[in-house]
Amino acid sequence: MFNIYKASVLRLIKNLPFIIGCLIAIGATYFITDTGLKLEFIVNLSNEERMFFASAAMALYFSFFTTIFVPVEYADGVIRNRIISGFSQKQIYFAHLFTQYTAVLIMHVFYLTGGLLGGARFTGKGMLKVLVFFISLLAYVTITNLIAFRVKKVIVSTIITMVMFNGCFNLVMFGNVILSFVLDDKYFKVGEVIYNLNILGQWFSNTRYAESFVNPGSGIQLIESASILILIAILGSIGLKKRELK
Amino acid sequence: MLRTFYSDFRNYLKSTGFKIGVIVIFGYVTFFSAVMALLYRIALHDIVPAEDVLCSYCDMAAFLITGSTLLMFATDYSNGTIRNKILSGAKRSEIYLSAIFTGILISLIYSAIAIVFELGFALVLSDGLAILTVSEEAGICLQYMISSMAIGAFSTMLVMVLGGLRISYFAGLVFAFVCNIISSEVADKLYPQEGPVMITGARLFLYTAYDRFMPYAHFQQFQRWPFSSYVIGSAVMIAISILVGLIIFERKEIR
Repeated sequence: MFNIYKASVLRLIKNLPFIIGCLIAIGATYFITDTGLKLEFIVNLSNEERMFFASAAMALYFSFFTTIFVPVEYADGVIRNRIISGFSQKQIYFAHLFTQYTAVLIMHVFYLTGGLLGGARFTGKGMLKVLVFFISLLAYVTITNLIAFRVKKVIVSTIITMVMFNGCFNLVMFGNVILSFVLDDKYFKVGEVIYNLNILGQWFSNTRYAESFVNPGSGIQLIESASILILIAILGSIGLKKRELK
Repeated sequence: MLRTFYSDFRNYLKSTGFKIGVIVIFGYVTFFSAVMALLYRIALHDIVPAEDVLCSYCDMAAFLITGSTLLMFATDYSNGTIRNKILSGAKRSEIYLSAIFTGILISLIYSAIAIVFELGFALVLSDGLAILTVSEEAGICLQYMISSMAIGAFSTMLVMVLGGLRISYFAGLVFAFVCNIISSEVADKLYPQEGPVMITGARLFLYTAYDRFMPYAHFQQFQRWPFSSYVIGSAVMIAISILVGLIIFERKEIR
């Protein structure tokens, strides 16, 4: 598995869309974090809050990056050749998953560098928010990787993941209304947990725009993300042997 | 051109993508209507008004149309269909216009199907329209259909112009998502829940123009502008899609 992972990471760091993504991550985070940018909705935020605000773009980026990177496996007989060389589909699946985690890590390094250059200071509370978002992004990427690896087709998997991302956004908008006006104390905790299963829910609840009651605390958010990550990673590896590969 | 158009249209109607699109519409409208009915029952102890069911399609329209045009025309690039059409003697302008009109027609069919499903659920779940008259609601449904056609043309243009590049797989969808965010921001500023409108000058002009003429912003529960504004906005987007796309597609290298 390590050999495939190594090969995938080498392909990743030479991949033009990824390089462009990393450059955007450092550039956009720098400009947003730096107080010189007078956008209305971030003008009253501190540097650290502005840096955190920029992080949601990474979720959007990985909604299409994973699906254009992973299905290359199915082109030109790559996966068939790997299987002939003795690797199992499970090994290939996990190699891709770890490659995506590496991509998230590398992009976060660029993102944090951009924030640092823009004037953000890494306090304990600020870093905890970044950590929460980082883990939730790993969980999100686990889902996009599963879709890309199972669907096999670039276009179809991109449509599915982008619709999923838009659905996450709509759920946050919808969730804000439900939590604010509809749910009573009895069901509120359940609603809060469901709201934070979603990556954009976790992001939004850590910004200043959200009502404080939509944030159940970093501990619960981390547990939710870790649970999704483990569950989806395992689910994705089930039944891989039975697939027919052309 | 008619022959190419007929084959494109027939090809798509028979494809799995179209059937999946219809299933997605049905699933989403069912889910949305059920959630709205439940919310009204639990929170307000009331029956959901038909207006709230008849706007189910709004949230998904742009994504559904963009996804379906992407599925159809990006595949045409990847499997060499466009190259074969050129080799068979079809002109580039014919191929492009046929694609645009297929995108428009498919979008129209999708929105009509969505409205039929919504009407069915509204009849079952609600006691009828609470605020709007039937003609007003019909006008809104027509507005959805016209805006869908414009989005269908624009997203087809993006795929045809960027076809063969990886950016074509996500450009339209990212654009639809960005428009979704902009529409929320514009609605928030132009129609504040409390107090007067706080924006002025060029910003007010831009926000108003976007809200009035941009088809991506027209999927709203209520009509905010005269019907002619929606028609003009959509017609301009279709015209831009045809003109810009034709110019680029004529010069594009097709592999």
